[in-house]
Amino acid sequence: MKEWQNGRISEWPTGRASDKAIDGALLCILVLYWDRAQSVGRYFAFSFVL
Amino acid sequence: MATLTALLNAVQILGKPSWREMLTYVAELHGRSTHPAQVPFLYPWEEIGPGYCYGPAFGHWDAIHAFLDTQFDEPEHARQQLLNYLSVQSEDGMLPGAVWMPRADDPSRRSPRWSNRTSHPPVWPMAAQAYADFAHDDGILARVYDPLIRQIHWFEQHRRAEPQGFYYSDILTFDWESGVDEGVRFKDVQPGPFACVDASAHMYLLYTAAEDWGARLGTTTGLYGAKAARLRAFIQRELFSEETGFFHDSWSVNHPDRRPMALEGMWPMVVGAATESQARRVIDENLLNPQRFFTAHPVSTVGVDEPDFELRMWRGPTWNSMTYWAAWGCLRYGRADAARLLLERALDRSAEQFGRTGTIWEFYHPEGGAPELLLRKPNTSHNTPCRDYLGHNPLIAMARLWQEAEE
Repeated sequence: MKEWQNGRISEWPTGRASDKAIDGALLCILVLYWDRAQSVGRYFAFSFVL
Repeated sequence: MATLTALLNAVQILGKPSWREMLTYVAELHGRSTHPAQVPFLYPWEEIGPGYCYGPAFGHWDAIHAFLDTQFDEPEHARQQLLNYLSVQSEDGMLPGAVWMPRADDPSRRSPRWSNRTSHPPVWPMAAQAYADFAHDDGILARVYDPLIRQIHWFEQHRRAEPQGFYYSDILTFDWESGVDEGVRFKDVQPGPFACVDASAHMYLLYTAAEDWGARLGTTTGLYGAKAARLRAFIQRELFSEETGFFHDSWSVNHPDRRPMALEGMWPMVVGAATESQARRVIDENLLNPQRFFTAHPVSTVGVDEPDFELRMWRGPTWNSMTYWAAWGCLRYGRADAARLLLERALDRSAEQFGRTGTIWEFYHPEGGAPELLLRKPNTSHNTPCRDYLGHNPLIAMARLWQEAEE
């Protein structure tokens, strides 16, 4: 059988979403959120200047 | 951990007295390997052995070999293992290899995982049918019939060989789908999906089970019987060598220079796809031949007179599960004498090693030497056979078969 190889997950197609995929998804959400947070911040900063 | 009391009681009167201590240990090991139900399993699940170096793990043909031991004395436990085994089948019919269960000391294994690409040898219908026959329980066949049909479709969609037969992905990608990791047949990558002797025989098994179970359940159409007949004709005609009296892969059967005597060539005999005369030659000229597979601890996984023979995993050492299937095939063709010979020798040698080391080894020295001397996978950190390994040691089933072969 193809055996677990010291956690080298990249070699492993998995039947469930892998932890790395979950981590990646969380990072994407954070990046999106950060982008929006920055936009909102810029809006308020611009409003304040005006 | 569970206690399988009926199994523990049964082994006290099973086989030769010199096997008792070992068989008692095996019965206890089955209990020690059983864990409470957890995702993804609905029932308590039995790992393939607490000593497995990448454990805890469930599934593959190892789970079926463990099932063979418990099916008669602990039928509810065995039934639950069969249902656990089939529960991870995907919608398209693929049954994955091992299911890797979580490990507290390994952050990369926080949740159960399994491959959705690589399957394993589907020997389970033989065990399921024996269970149903013994328990007079066609209900279990009704429950597993749909998974069987879906698995057939998956193999037909994804493992059909050219021009005929079936293959395991090992010949192209070294995924060890065949369970024969780093076996001698896979030393070279094949340029295409050619017929493997084991995969083709295992598909014959699925077709015949589908036909037989369909008839028992009143749903047969004759479709699978016809497919089985075509595949049987192909195996008998194209995969048998008159020179060796043995079966081989399609790419090597007619090429003596690259035709290894690998034990996987026994599978057409085990599943009943060989003619009577072919089976006789497989048994007498190969399985019972000391120059080939009939070693002190039979059966070796590569013929001992082969240049490819090594004391390394599937390149020579003996796996008791394969001895069990070899004996099963012998009985199928009316050769109780051969079955008893293979089983008794294998059980004697296993008991000797148990007496010396106090454990059940993943695989054994074919000449009865120390398993510690064998290589496993030299390019990994686990290069000796695992201890306390059940997945290839149906020793209780072997002792039972040995006893039945006498009756």
